[in-house]
Amino acid sequence: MKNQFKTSVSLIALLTLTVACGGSGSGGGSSDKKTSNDQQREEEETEVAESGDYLAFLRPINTRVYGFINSGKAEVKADQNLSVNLVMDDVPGVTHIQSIHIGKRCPHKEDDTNNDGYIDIKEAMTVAGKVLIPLDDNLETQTLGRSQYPTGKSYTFQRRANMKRVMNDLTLPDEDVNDNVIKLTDTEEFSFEGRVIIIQGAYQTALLPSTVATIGTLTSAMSIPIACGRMMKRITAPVP
Amino acid sequence: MKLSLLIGMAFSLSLHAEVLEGKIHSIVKGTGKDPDIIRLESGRVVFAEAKDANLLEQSGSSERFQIITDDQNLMVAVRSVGKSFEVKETVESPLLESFEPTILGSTDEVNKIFNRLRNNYKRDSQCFNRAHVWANDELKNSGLKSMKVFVFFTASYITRNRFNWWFHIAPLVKVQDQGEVSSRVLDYRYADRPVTVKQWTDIFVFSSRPCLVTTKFSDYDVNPQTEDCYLITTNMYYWMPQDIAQRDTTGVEKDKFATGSIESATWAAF
Repeated sequence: MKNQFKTSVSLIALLTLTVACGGSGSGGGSSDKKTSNDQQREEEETEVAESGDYLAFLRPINTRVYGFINSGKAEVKADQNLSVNLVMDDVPGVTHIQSIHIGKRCPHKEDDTNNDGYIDIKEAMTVAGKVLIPLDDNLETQTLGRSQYPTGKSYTFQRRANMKRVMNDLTLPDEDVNDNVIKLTDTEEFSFEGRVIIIQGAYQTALLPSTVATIGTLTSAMSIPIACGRMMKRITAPVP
Repeated sequence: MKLSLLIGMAFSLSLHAEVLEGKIHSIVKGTGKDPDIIRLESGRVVFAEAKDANLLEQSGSSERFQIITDDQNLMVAVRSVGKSFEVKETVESPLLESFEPTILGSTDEVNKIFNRLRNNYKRDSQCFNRAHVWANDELKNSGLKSMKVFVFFTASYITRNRFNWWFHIAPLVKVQDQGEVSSRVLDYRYADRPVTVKQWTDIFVFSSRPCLVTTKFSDYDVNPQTEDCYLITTNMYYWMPQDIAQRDTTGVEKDKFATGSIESATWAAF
């Protein structure tokens, strides 16, 4: 039997639990003291997402990019906290932008609309939708924690955040409707079920044609999707 | 005498070394400057300099090895870890009638079967064990007589792409689709839906070249390997490539799941 062990330095950085009752932590700079009225208003105004335990199997996309058949699994628990445990088998030395997208389908070969043999991030987002939650160093906000993504190979990503703070951020006004990140307009019906997780990133030296579109200031090698999985509610029934 | 090989102990391990353990299926000699390809029974491939691979050729067929590779999948160290455990299968008798796979009535049925495939496989599980358990599960669940599709990657493909496998296996089912009987591959780990054989091989064959379809393992094993890949389809009872090679030699088709193979596959993969 194959027996793997890794001598690579682990890049796991598990955030300590941010206390839901308003202890110090995220938010940077603002006072943590709240009046009871403020607290009550916050609870009334913020709807949390539907609770659930989700599992997403990350299957490979664009395997020809660097010739590795990657795969992984993400476990997402949504209750009072949003907990993400993502394990990915991949090549060494590549940093992977990874996100939960608002859409409910992973891209397939037929979504390669310009027929260049690659599904680029723009083509992927036509079916997977825009980014809802970047799976970076800070799950509580879409903007903080950017550029702090895990690097392969065979990495484990574990983060946890207060769900109310996550939803607060997701329901703020969208200041840039033209970027690849989206806010929620209605949280009451929101559920993580069916949403897709996309892992991006290939070697910087990957030779990609100019037809492979990218977003923002990212190179096409940095933004190209390499794996995708759809979050399914975990079934508790026993397996056969 | 236990054969113990230590090669290149002066090598410093890179941060991304990998350790593989298993039996060696065969060694394919590299041409020109290409390294030799060590094919493990697990389906994994390791590259090795000719002088290092030559030492392994002298080992016994049941010997298990622990192989350390660098981040280019090149063997940097190896040691014998003893004899391997063999699954004792019952001797199969020749088929009295040929295997007839079930033809499912619709792609909806295929989707339902796909969605109930056991998904609690281990991270380091082997494809042949997953496929074997999945096929057996569905036979017990619905009486489905499925098949297996083996894709074998040629030495030239492996070398050109520094590919890590020499074969991959998944269950295959037959389905009535728009008036014709077609095939769908159920590979839960690498595809999010049932796919055609071509869609399936395209995941692993980066050139998207079609694989040459054959029935004999030797067609893949001994020819000059100018193709990128070969495909062999069997009934669901075939577990590993060795089973195909044995059939080719003995002429005896497998006609049932051996109890030992299902238990072993389940323990190893789930």
